[in-house]
Amino acid sequence: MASAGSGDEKAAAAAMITLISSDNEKFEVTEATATLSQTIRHMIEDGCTDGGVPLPNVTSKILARVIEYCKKHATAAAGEEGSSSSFSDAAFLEVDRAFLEELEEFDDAFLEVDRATLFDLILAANYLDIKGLLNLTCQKVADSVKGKTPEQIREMYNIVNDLTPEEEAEIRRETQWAFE
Amino acid sequence: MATRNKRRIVASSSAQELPDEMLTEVFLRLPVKSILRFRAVCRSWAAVLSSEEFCGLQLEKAKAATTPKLFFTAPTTGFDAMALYLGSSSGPDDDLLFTLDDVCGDFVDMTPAPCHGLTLLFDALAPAYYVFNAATRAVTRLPPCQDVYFATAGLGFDAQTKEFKVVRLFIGECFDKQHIKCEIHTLGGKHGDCWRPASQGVPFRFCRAAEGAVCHSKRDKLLPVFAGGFLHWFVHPSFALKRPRAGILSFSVTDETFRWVQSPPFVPPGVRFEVVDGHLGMVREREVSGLHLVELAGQLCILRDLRNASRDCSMLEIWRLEDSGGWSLLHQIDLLQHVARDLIEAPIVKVIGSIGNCISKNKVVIVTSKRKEHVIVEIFYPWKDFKSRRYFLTCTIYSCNIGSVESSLIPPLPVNDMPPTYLEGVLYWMSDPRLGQSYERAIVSLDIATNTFGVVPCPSYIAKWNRSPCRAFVVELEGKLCAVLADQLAKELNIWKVENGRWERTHILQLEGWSSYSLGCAVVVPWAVYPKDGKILLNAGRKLGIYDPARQSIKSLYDLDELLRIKSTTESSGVRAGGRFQIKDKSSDKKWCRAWKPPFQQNKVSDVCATVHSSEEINPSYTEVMPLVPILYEESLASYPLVRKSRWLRR
Repeated sequence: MASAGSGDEKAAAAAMITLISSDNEKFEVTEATATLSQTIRHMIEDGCTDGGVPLPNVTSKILARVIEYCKKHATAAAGEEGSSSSFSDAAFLEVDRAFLEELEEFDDAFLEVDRATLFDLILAANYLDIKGLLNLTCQKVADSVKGKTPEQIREMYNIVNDLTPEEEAEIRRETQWAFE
Repeated sequence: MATRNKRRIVASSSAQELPDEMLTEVFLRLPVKSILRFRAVCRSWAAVLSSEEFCGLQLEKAKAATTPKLFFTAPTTGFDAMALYLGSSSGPDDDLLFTLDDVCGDFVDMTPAPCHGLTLLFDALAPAYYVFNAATRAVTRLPPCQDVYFATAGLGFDAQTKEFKVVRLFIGECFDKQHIKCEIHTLGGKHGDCWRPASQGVPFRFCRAAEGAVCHSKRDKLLPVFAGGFLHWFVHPSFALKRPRAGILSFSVTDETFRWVQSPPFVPPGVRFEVVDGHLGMVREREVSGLHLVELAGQLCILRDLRNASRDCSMLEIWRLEDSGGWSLLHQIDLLQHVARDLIEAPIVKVIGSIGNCISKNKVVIVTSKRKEHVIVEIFYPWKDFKSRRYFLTCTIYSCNIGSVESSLIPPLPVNDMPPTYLEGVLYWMSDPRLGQSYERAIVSLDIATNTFGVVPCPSYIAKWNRSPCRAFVVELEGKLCAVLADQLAKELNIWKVENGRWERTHILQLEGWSSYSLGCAVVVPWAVYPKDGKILLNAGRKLGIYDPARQSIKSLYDLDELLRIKSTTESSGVRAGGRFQIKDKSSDKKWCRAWKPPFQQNKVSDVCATVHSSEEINPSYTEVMPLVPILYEESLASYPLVRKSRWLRR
C-alpha cells in the first residue's frame, strides 16, 4: 500500500503529457504512465512533446485501452521500485505478491476483447513500443491458436489455402507427428 | 479519416492482415508442434515459419528460457528400440518424443549437447550413426562407414556454408597406408550421400594426439565438444605415453584443419602404468570423475572435479578458454552448498550445458550419476586338492570400460563351482566346504563398488555339510538373496531367503517323480518366482519348467531334447521380459544364462546399474531405465536436407 501511494505521489508531481489519437481526441496522462512507451519516452527525451504527442496510427478507442494498461502497469513499476529498495521487509513482499496477483487479474480482464481489438492493441503496442503489452497481446493470440489444426486456422482467419495438395502432403509428411 | 477507415477494415478482416512482423511475434510464442503444423496453413505462413530468420529468432527465444528442458534416452522394454523422452525439471511429464527402431539403447553414445538443435547418435551395435532434431523429430540415418573398433565422431556446424558436418576420427585397418583417418559426412549430401576424407587428412604431427583422442573417447564414451566452429577432443595423458604438446585437439569444421588448444593449467587426475605379474598393467588412480569438456554460452569450458583430490571436498571448477588461448577460472561451485550429500557422493558429476542467454541470468546444469560399468569377476583355481583340503585361488576383476585389471584380491573362503549371483552391486558365491579350514558352508560376497570381499553366514540347515554330494548355491529371487540346497536323497530343493537380515525357508520343491528334473543327473536352478501365483520357473539345463507349489507339479515350458516350442507368451509374461530365452550350451549343465539379461552377460558378468540423479530433481521413477547423462533439449527448428534414408518414427 505504502509503495503504491508513494508511486501516485511521484506521478502527481511529474509533468502531464497530452496524447492525441488519430481521430483527434486528447488524453492527459502522467509522464510515468506515458514513458512505459519507449516511443514516447524518446520523444520526451528529445523535448518534442509540447503541444501534445500526435499518434496518427492509434484510434481513440484503442488509445484509451492502452492508457488504461499503462496506468495500471506504471503503478506496478513504481511499486516494484519501492519494494526493491526495501526488499528485506517481509511485509513489502507480501504486499508485492498481492499486487502481482491483482495485476495478473487485471491483465486477464484486459484481454477479454474481440479479435479486432486485440489486433489493434498489438499494432498499437508495437508502434508505441510497449514491451509488456506486446508480449501480453501476442501471447493471447498464440494461446488462442496453438492447439488448432491448419483447417481450423484457415476457418478462423479466412485464409485461403494456396498450397497445392502435393505441397501440403509433403509438409505433413515431413513432420507427421505434429499433425497427430 | 481515411487512415481511420483503412485501419478499421484491416483490423476487422483477418489475422493475415497483421503485418508479417507482428505475425512473427505471435508465431514466436507458439510451441514447436504448432509451428510445424501451421506450415501447412498457406504458402506465406509456410515461408515465414520455415525461414532461416524465423528459426534463428525461435532458437534465441528458446535459449533464453529459464528452466532447463532435458531429454533422455532409454531402451524400450524389448531392447529392440530406443526411446527419447522429454523431461523437464518442473514436473514428471515424461513425454515420449519418439523411438528409434533397431537401435539398442544400451550401446548408444550421443553428442553431449545439441549443435544448433541437432544431436548425433552412435549405435555401437549396428554400427550406425544417426542425426536427429529432438524438437522437430526429424531423424536421419547416416550412410554406412568403415566398421572399425576405435572411432569417435562429432557434429559441427559450418557457419560459412550453413552446413552440418559429421566428423569421424578413427583408427583404420593395420594394412591401411595411413593408420589414423578423418572422414566427413555433410548432412544433406551436397558432396554425395557418403563419407569423404577430410580435405587435408590428418597431418603427421597430429597423428599421435588423434590416436589418443580416439582411444580416450572410446574408453570414456565421450564425444567431441563443438564450440566456436571447432570440434574439441580432450586427450587424456594416459593415452599418450609421450605427452603431446597440448591437451586438446581441435578441428575446424569450416577449414577442415587440425590445431592444438593449450592444456588447462592443472594436472588431470590420471592413470599410471605399473608392472603387474610381469605385464604392464594400467592402474587407475583415484579419479572420481574425470575432466570433461563442455560448451557453455558458446565457449569451450572444462570441468574440473576437485573431489578427485580429497574425499572431503565437494568443489567443482569450471574453466573457460579465452580468446587469447589461455584458461581462466569461470566458476567455483561448492556442491555441498546446493544439493544433498548423497548426490555429491555419486561418482560421476557432469556439467551438461547452460541455459539463459544473458550472462547475469545464466544457469549451469549439473548432472550427477552413479558409475555404470560392467565388471567381469573371474575366480580361478590354478590348483586344488580335496584330500589335503589345500588350494590356491586367484581373483581377477576386469573393468570393461576402463580396461583396468585388479588382481590383488584374495577371496576369504574357497568358492564352489556353481555360478555366483548378482544383487544390488554385490556378487555372491557359495563356499566349498570340501576345501580349506572350514567344514561348513558360507556365502562369499564381493562389493563391486569398493572391491571388498565379505562373508555372509548361511542358514544353519545349509551351512551344515555332512559330506553328502548335495549341491548348494545362491540365487536371486524376488529381489532377495536366496540360498538353495539341492537335497538329492530327499529329492527336494530347499530355498532360503534373507528377509530383514534373517534367513527364512520360503520353499521346499518336491521333485520326486519328475525324472528330467532329477537332482542326481541335473542341476536344477530356480530362476524366478511368478509374482501373481507364486509358481517357480526352473532351469534344469536342458529344460525349462514351471513348478506349481500347490500341486507339486511341473509344467514343461521348453525342452531342448524334444525341441518343443515355447508355449504361449502369456504364460511366461509374469517373468520379467518373458520369452527371451537363450539356451547357452547343449552339452553342459552348468552354463546357463538368465533369460532377461542381454546374452553377453554370462555367469560372471555383473552390471552395476546406473541411477541418475540431478540437482534439478529428476523424477526418481526413471532410475530403472535411465541412461547416464541427459541432454539439454533445445527447442530449435533447425532443419537439414533429408536424403533418402529418412526414417519413419513410431510413437
